[in-house]
Amino acid sequence: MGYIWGGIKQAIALIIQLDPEVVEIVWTSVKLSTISTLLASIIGIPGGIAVSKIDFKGKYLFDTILNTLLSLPTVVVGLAVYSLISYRGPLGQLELLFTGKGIILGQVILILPIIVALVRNAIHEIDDRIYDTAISLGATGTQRFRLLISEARYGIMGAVVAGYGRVIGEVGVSMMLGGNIRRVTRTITTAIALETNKGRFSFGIALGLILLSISFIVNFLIYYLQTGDKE
Amino acid sequence: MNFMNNKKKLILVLVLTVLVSSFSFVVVEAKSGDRLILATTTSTENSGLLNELLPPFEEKFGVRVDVVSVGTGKAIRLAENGDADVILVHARKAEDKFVNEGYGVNRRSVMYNDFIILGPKSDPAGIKGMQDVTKAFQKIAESNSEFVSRGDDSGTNKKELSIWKKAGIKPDDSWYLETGQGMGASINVANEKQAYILADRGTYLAYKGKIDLAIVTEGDPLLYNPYGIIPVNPALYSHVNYQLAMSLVGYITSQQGQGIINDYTKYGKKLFKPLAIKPGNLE
Amino acid sequence: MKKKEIILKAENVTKYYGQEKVLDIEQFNLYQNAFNFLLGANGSGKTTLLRILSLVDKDYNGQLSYCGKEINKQESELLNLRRKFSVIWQEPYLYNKSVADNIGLPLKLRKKSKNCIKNKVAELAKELKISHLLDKNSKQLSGGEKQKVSIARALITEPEILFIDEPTTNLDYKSNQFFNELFTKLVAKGVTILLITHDLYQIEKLAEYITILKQGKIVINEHKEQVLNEGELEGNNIIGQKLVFA
Repeated sequence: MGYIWGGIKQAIALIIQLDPEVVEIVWTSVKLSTISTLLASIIGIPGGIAVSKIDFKGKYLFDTILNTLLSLPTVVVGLAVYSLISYRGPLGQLELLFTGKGIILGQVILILPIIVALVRNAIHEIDDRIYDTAISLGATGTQRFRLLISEARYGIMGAVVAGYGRVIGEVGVSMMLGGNIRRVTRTITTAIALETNKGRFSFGIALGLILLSISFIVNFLIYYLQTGDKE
Repeated sequence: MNFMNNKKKLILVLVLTVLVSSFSFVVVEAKSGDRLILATTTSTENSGLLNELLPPFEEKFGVRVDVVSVGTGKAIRLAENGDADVILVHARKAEDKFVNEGYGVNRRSVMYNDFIILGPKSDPAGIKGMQDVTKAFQKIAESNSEFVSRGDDSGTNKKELSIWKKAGIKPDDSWYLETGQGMGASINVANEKQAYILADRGTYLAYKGKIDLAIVTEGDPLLYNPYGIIPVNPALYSHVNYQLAMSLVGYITSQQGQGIINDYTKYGKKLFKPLAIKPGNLE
Repeated sequence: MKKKEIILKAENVTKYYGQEKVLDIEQFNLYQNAFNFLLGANGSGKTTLLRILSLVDKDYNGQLSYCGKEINKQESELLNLRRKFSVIWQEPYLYNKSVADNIGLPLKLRKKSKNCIKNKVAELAKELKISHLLDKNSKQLSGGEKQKVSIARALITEPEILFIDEPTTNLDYKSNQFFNELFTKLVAKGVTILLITHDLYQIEKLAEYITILKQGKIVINEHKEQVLNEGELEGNNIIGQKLVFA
């Protein structure tokens, strides 16, 4: 027990002193997750709206596949993207492996289904009366669409935040595509996974505490966005 | 209502700040110079040696060495796929195969350390102090004492399997536990289970004091653990950074590189002995 | 009794829900600058007809005409006309914004300036006695308050035709009185109103033209006095009788 408390004490010291390595790793994680989430949102939000609005043949199958992809294991994504961007793979020439860009590609693929599905649900949850109301208020097609998005805004933001929560805490993609390279692709999760192997427990605990705090903030945001409109 | 709006604005500002700064860093990062991808083993990285060994090279050659640490088997596969420029590993047979098949060229021996068997203080197999590692393995099997294997195709794992083979034992009983994980994680498992495990000395030193396992067997020549560095064959993959890879080989086998290896200590003990230049010939 | 001009006319309008024919109108006239009442039992097609007349639903067969001119189903023409109309729904939908933003929304959609919207909203809210609600979010309102806000939202564009679907369900007696008076004033100012209701008192006091729907078909579409006269000819009160089943 003694050494656990020691570890936690040292961890807190590392955080308070803004240990440069800790700061660098946290920043790498935040940076990569932010960009991944942003890119996935740029594709996923219109995608989710399209999926909720457009009927097509095989939509049932599509929805089922989408729901399956929600729980896509990170290592499966990692493996699939590795075979794509490995030098021997079809995208090998781009030299994305073991770079931040490689991680971003994997993370975008990981959370795209999540954002699409949650945005779709957010649109579905909107009261059907919104359509008649918007038409009767004299809204043009574009204005109707904007009103729809505006009404789904909390749901859409919730989808984005959920995507962020997923990437900041994932380890499979970052490990397999990033390679845990110091100062480049070492993220909070890969560092925790591998640095403890070096016996740097307090370092791992410090990162773990920070990850917990980020997750807390993310979950708080989700909760806030989900309840914000009902108060 | 106004209070809520303010909170929302605050969140918006926060999110925007993170966004903008993220992208500004991407732009900055894109300007960084040459990079050399060194695939190596977790035990090498975990020893901390590379943090001493690489910075002088990076500075001298204006290059960034990106270290990807995986098991020896995976490091070799990465190089075979053209995903690394140079490898630093410890599994002589696999290294020779890698060179013979044309994936790598100009292998050089770098350094060595040794493997040890760790075991519980109660020593149920009764092998403490034994030097002959083959006999020790046989006794572990005979006494059905639990043994943890990494089972991850790493250099350590390959070494362990070769000893079982030499001992004439096919370890697939319930006392044989494969973790499929790195050295540190496997030592932790062995510690929890109070089982025997074959480990590299560097990782053991990192864990010493945090575990209830002790060295039971050491010193057998079989436990000799040499490291080699091999650039990926530029004739096979024209995109690899062969020039820099050879520069790294030259540096690591130079007086400077070998000296750093010889002087490197962790927890007050030397971890590696240089192989390219005999210690007596070091300046 | 002088017959008023017809502002909106529906001819041979039918509407199906799947296989079921829910509306079958040979002819319906909406009289200009008058208080038109649309009556009928639940499920007789009142709201369906209102959605078609207000151009919210364009999925029907038949022909509508506005001021004698046929309405084609082109989106631009529909939008132009819709912007002359307003609808007050039985169960109004308010957007997840402040009450002020909800009331001002139709003007915003018509690209009016912020200042203009702000002033008009304030003025109208004062008139409708809902100024105290303006800063609230629409989700915080009671059912009655929501209905009042939706009435304000419908009136802010000063519509030519006002379609109202049983607005008083959620309102208390006093508010009811207030809005009945307001609607009467609007008609006096030249507005055309089509009102769906079950409220006999409203019919007796306010109705000018009366339309009765029965199973999707029009039974009566005439001036109230004429309806009463016909009733007298037959020796009973047609409105009352028709509404007994309602």
